[in-house]
Amino acid sequence: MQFVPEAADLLAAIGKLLDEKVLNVVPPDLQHQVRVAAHLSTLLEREARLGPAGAARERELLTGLLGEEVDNPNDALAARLRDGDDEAFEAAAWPALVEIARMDLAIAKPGHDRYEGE
Amino acid sequence: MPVEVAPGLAHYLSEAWGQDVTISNLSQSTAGARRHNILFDATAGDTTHHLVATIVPFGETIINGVDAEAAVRDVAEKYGVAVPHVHLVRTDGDLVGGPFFISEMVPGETVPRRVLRLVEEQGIGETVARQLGESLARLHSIEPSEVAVPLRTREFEGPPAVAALAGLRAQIDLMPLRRPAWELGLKWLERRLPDPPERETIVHSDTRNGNLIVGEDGLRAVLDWEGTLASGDPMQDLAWPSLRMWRFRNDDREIGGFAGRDPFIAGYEAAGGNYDAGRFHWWKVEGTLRWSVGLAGQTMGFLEGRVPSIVMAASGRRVPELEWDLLMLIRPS
Repeated sequence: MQFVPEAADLLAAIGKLLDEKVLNVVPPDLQHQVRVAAHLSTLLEREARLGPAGAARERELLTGLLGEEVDNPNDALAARLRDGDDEAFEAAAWPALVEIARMDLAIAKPGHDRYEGE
Repeated sequence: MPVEVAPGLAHYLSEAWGQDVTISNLSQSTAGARRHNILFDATAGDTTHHLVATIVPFGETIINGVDAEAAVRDVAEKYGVAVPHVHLVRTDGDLVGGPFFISEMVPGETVPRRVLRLVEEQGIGETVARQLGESLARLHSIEPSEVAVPLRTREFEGPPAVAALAGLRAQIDLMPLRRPAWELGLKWLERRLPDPPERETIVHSDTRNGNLIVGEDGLRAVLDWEGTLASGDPMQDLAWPSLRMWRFRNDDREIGGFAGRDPFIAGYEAAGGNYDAGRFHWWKVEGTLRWSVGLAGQTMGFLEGRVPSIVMAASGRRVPELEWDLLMLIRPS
């Protein structure tokens, strides 16, 4: 068992350091990479906090859709969509995939799902 | 990079113009990830020319060679497409680290957020959208045989939509992870495969915000012709700049964050293009799925050690954005 700080707190500190201190002092050709690194640190912070609950909910949604417990429900759903020809099943998959995408976005790009247009 | 190429450019231009040329004010444009765009001044006698050298470094994957890209830009310019004039092309030799062409430097903004700031300040969003539509219609009016050097062709057989779908499926099958949202997108595209276009046209394939030069007066040039296809569905070209990814937070302005679809299509039709809303939507879904898979492909380059860049690593974590955009486009009725 590691002592504190937890992973999320360390990643937040790394992101803050890169964004607020390092970005301003690196040469121009490195700035974009440092900006991306800062962004990834805060993304990983959110993943450390939100990832486990999201993964559990994703498994629950996919298992409900598939109607059975399988080792890798993501692969199983992808295969069923690829090989199947069932428009009702595809329509039922849509809201589940939207909910999963919202959870992915809460980590990867918070706010992206506020726009529901085309 | 900029300073290193100065002697090669000076040597080449002196030879080409038959007089001593001096090179100054070199700087590298931020546009273009794989290719180098070097802005510079070339002075011959009393005259100074503001130019850009586009260099494809040796070892980079070539989509269209610089000669094909220059050839299609030549013809496009004759037909009134906004494009920087190409002065010279060099396909061989090692003057600047790879094949290159030299074109006129067109002043203006290319970085999307700066472009959108300028567009907002000047109130020219609808103008830019209309001008982009006009340029695409003029491009689509060209007979592919008029381009002196062959452009790339589709990788898969069949009409444009069939070939695109086969390409997507093949790309997805190369990925180590399966994504149900991609499969739902593929299924949607399969079920709604459009009829082929009445006439296939040259397809630029990447006229998004980021590949355009915009000034106070509007659209000044369409850049980055390296991926231009010899023939395809013109609606592919219209749909691509409408992806949410290229609106840079101006989500309610479908075309590049500039304006809605109406002025864009009005410009396209006024310049002789035939718009088809059904095929436009199909290609918009196709483009969104293709870019989602494309971002995954960038990350595979990182994971396999081919492109050790943190920027490419980050691309994989952008996949959910495109999956969201895809799901919004294929919402069941």
